[in-house]
Amino acid sequence: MNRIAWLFFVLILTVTSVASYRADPGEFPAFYFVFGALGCLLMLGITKGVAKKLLSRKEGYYERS
Amino acid sequence: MNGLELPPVIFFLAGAALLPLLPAAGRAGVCVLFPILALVHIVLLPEGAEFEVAFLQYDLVLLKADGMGRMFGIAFALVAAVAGIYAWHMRELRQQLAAMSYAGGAMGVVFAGDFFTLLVFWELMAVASALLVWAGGTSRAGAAGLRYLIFHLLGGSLLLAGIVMEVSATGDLALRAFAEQVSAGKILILLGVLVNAGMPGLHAWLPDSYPKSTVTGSIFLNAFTTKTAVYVLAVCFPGWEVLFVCGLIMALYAVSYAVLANDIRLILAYHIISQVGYMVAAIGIGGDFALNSAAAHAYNNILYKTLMFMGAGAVLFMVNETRLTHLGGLFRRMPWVVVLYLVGGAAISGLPLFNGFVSKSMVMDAVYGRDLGYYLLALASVGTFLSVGIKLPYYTWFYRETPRELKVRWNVPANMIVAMAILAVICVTYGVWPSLQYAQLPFPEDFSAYRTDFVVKAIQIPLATFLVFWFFRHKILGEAKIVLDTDWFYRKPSPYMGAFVLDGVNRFFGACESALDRLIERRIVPPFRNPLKTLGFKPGSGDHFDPDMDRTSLGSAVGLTLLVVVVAVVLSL
Repeated sequence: MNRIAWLFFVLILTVTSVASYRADPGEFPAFYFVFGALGCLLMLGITKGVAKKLLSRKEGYYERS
Repeated sequence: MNGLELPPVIFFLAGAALLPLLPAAGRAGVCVLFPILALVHIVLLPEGAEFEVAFLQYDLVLLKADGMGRMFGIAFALVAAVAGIYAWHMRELRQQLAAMSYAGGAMGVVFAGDFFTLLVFWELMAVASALLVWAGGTSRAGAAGLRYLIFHLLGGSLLLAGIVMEVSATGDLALRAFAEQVSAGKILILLGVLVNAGMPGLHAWLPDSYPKSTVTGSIFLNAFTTKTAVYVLAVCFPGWEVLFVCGLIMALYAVSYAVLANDIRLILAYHIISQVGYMVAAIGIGGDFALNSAAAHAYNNILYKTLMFMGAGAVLFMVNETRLTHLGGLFRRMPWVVVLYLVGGAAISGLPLFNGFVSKSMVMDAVYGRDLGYYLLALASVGTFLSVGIKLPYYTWFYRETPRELKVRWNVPANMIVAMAILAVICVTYGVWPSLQYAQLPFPEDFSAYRTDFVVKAIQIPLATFLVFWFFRHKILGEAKIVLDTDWFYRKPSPYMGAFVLDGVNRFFGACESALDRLIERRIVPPFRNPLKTLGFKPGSGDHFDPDMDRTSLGSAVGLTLLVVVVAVVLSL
């Protein structure tokens, strides 16, 4: 991504965090950003790491058997 | 009764009956016009309208107009009409007939007022949808269609058994909400409905069959079966706690498979289950608000998921390929399809200004307070955006130059673009003016989706997901492989089971048939080959009757005739 896209990205994150803080100062303003990042890593780790090794087969697997 | 109190299914069945009588161009018009007529009819249906038919000692209710049925009915009719536009160029009568009957079956289910009517239309859907899978025309589609039909006949049988038990126990045939007191009949009905909803363990028919249908067939398939199941769950099992757990499992299980899948229609097929999981979870919570959220999410899902299937269908139409590992760089050849698909992608991801945001916020609000369930559904929404919001469009239309082995058609038919545009406009309209949606809900509602916490969550989660995807984008695509699902348990052993059961039976009957053939050949046929030899009249003649050798002389024939005449004369005296 180019710099403008990154800038836009940071801007959105900042605006939403500020809005979140103003709505509920008791909650971490970027909570869902962190949740989303960790959740995405977890999902990729489970699916691409564990599940893929255990469950993926070559195309035509059923037709060959 | 006035003319308005007719069941909307009549429009679809009349359209289906008319189709074989019309030329190809006229048939395409019927597939659009009759759903529109049904849509207008449903909108004008008076609240509480009923249409009953006497059958044996029962009064069958073919129409029961309430808020829930009307909401599903509007979505079905709308999507059937738009799918008719999308399929305008398709002239195959068999597919058109199946699609109209299928939509009619779905319409019959959501307006049914009793279990018997529901069951009849339920089975109509099963058969018509299997025809749409078979329309794929390949050997894989044929096998998948057969598995699909077996699963649905199994589900239908469970439903029938449950209905019979429940009606014989209570004497009440009316479609109604069951109290959460477990009985065998209720459990069987629930299992029968969960087969159609795609509950993990009972779901493998869906990702197995939907991606193998035709470009237009999968549009219809995506819209009806699972959503009618959601409707029946909402009507019969509201507040059943077990459904909340089922919903969570569906949402997470299917989205994990969607992240792994390589075929774009397979990804979308898994997402049907995942999104239905949100609805089922909300139904499990029960109460007016949760049921409203389930109905709203089903309504929106029918719209945006159809839009996304249309985008995937356009790719299939253009390049006859749906595997991400074989696609790429198609943006310049189909820019409008990409833009319109992304509207669907944004809607399913729950981004603000799209209809999915409204209904997903409602579901999350209904689930709020059940911490683990809430965060598990939020995690599922991460997977949703990752797989259909970014992964699918990025590897299909961007990422690299179009692979040279792809044979790209000149352009996507205009009718396909128009259909996608209509759905995209509707998705945005409901997202920008959610009050339009609130007004349709089955129960009165004063919810507002555009609250700061909802908007923040709906933006920050996709933002983070996009960031992670971008860093790992070269590793996520993977290889052209399939991922085993629960269908392994019956597809893998099926050749051995076939060898054990079918081949054994076949061999036994084959041996019996051979023995019988030999017996007939040796004992029964020879006397008929030469009866004269068998009866001893011509001891020296051969095994086969030879006219030159074995035929009796003219004198013998005349003598025999005279003898018969004499005997007849003597007897008549």
